Amino acid sequence: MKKYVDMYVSSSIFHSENQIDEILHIISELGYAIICISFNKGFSDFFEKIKRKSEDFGLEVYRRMNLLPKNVQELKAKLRQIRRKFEIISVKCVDKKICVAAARDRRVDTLNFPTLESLKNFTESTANLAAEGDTAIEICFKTFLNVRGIRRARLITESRKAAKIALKKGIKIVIDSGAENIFEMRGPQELCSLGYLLDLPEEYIDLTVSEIPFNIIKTNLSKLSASFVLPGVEIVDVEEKNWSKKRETDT
Amino acid sequence: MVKEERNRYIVFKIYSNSDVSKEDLAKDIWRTLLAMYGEYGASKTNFWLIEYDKNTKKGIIRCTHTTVNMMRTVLAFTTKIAETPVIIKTLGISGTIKAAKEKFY
Repeated sequence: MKKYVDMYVSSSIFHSENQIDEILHIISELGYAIICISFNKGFSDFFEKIKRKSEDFGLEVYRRMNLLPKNVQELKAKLRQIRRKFEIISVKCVDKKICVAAARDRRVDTLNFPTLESLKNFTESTANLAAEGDTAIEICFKTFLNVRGIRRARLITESRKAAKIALKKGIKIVIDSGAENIFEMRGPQELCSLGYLLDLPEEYIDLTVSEIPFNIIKTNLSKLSASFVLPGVEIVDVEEKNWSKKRETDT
Repeated sequence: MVKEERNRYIVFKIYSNSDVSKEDLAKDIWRTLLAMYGEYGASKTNFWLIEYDKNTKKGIIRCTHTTVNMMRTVLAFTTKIAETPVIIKTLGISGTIKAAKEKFY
């Protein structure tokens, strides 16, 4: 069965411990199997509680970090510090230089464009780098909910242009809610409706909320495991080693 | 002969902290529809709020088969009903009201 993923839910949707159950219930009713919660300072203990309770609702919960660095050096330093601590790392591309550096860096999972102006940083040349670095672009539903009229129309136009470039260059697109409160969340099918507005191919739209984010998380989980060395190289279990030795002697 | 315009019935559920009336719901869906697609676009949808149950918070809207995705977008972009923040979740789509009720209501 297909697993739907909301790759960006802010920790602020869980305002208090009493509401964790209620919010997780709504998220699972909306149809999600996996969510990634963006992290703040001091959220660690609270996150563990959410993770424990999420199992009762059949939900998988992962950690996500949004980076908003001042310059490229800060971006690199932050990535070095935190890459092995979070399943998903996203960079808010409000600056052209940061956008280029993030697109090139394989440690970055997604490029996030929080404003209409920031979308102009995603050009064909940035897209080429993102394609090489296997970095996806992220489209947040919340960005569209928070604007009206002309600004929303322009945001749709610019996002459509970015999506067209991404498809042309073979860059993965992820659609998520980016919700900061529970009423900014939408079900997977509702997130897909944004894909129709952006003229994404019909067969691709469903993947942006299921297979694509799921594969990003799966790859990162295997990279974060203790046995991972390089892509395709893993430390094999000692027991398994003995078994293969025994098989060799048998033959 | 196949009819050119066929109706579709979208069953939805509302998540909100307070009750929402059918009139307010219809008014705010119309408002979002007009804001997103204009009067011409809205005229193509043949939209109508067929029914809404306050207790279960489930309802059915009608649209044409060619405008199902438009109406899904409209439901997704409806953020408030009478100033109450809401999430509208599509439960399913059917070709007849009877089937819509049996399968999803």
